[in-house]
Amino acid sequence: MSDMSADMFSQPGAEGTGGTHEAPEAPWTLEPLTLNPSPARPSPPCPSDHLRAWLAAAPGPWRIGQVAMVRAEESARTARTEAGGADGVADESRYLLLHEDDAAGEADAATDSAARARAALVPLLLESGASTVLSAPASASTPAPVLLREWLRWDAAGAFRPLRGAPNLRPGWILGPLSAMQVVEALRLIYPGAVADWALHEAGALRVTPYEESAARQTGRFSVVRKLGDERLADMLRECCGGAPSADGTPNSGCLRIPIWAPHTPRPPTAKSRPEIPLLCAEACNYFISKAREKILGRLD
Amino acid sequence: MPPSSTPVIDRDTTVGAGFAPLSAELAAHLKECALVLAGHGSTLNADSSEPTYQHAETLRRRGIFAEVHECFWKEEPNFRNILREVEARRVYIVPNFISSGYFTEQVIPRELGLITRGEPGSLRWPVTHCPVAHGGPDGPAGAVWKELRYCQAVGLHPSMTRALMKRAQDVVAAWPGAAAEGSGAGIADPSRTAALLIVGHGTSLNDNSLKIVHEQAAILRATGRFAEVHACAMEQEPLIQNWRTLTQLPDVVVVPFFISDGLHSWEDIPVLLGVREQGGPPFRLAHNPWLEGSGPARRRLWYANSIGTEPVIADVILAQVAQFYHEHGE
Repeated sequence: MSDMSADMFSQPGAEGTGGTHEAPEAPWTLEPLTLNPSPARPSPPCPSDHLRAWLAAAPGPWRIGQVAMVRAEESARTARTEAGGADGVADESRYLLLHEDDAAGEADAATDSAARARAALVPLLLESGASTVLSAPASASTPAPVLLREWLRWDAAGAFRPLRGAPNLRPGWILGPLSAMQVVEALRLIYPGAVADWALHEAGALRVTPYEESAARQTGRFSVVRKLGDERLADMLRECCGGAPSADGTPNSGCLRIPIWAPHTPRPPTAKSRPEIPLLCAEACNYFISKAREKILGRLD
Repeated sequence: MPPSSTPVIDRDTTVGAGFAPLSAELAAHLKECALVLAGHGSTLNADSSEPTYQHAETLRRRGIFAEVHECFWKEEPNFRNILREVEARRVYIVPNFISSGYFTEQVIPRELGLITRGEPGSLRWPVTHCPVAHGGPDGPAGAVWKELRYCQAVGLHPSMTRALMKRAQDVVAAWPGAAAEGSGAGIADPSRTAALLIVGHGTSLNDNSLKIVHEQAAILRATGRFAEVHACAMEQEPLIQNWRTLTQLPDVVVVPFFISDGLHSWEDIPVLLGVREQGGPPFRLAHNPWLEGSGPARRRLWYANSIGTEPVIADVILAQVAQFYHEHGE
């Protein structure tokens, strides 16, 4: 039985604690809306504003995980005051996103149509006049976000790819030209949460959750993960999360995200001018929690 | 992309009634809100999250909400971190689950910060204000607060009846042999010769989903469009494996009451129905109709994909949002 079916219909408490469901006793009431009740404390910027300001501040190219971002050569950056724009600056630049392997260390070449053809990329081009709907020439009826999402869900061998931070993003595509907001939307698909967590990190407002706290929150069949312990946690970090590429160039086999929730993992410095968005992991993901459960049950059985 | 004030859907003419259009007031409200569709997902197969992606994309393209996000228990983006990505201050959260239960009442509220950690009685539904930027309700005060509006699970909405009827009619109409048989939609008069079987999971531990299946069956029965309508289950009476005695009618249409296709709908239930061998290839729509017997005793079985993959579910999701708005206001 798949993990989904087992999970969906297993009862909390069948294997652990937390089996009692507490129904709300008080009738539901509508609370008054109070947005930003502590105005004295500045709010971190919203993720898209942060990314826009960052892109506008440097010529590129930029990098996030296995993705290179370059300014499309035909777009001209203009700064003008416009209501609603980030910091009053409207950046009309357009960007191309492509796999680092296709950028081949020479990001400028990616904007060249001949290089694009040589690389035999799958073009996912912005449909002119559309605001967020992208389409691919090969299949005009399928919106590009759908094509991109499907691209992300499978690795080169055709295996399901549940972990978006895994270093097995297939090369062979180029996305764009995209507006800054569309870059945000594309990155939400490619590396979910990455831009938002980075924006909060830069503002010193990213809350990091230690493993013990993540484990303590689990109920039902996952409550067993509290028993992981330091030694197995260290093993799991090597097995699931991987790390930097080894000295001989062997790529990271686990996940490109930096598990800043783990003990002794330094947080990358905040530096808005660096051309790379770090892939931060502020809390053990459910993939890790599932694997922790398997490890514990495997050892206990 | 249609303007939000136009009717959301009225394609469903065969069933007789479409979904109600959004009022101008509600459309203006939703334009400032985000929708978060929360699905289960899986680390093992892609089928589980597919319907959540599908309906989120449908609603995203209609431009009704300022933002539409999908999130999952088992995949990325996760329940736990999705709210950091949401930029709108007001957020409608709809669980893409077939019924209420452990996930809708415990896991999603806990992971999204609708419930205070360690205080299971402290449910702050349906409207919660939460300092999202600092990682949920346990973070320091201040920063960006969001208003979280937690809706009922998709499968609980009364308009699921419409989705079930549409799916049952479509699975028969989609059969390429219908015209050759000279019987129009494949079954000339379902109200005389066809039984509709809605199959839930069923378990001795949690009968929430099966309760809804029985309710839906009763409503569909009352429409008189099928001669018989039965609620069935995989692991609970009435068992789907007994379909041959449950009904004597020549045409039997089976619709799985599940969110996604996969192990249950393509493998387990077809085995129970006796139309697939254990370990054999999964049952697909192309196998419809399954024939048993011959002459006057011949029976035809039509097996549909899971109800959660029906495109009209996008409108059921919207209907859950509209219901929340009508019950709780802005």
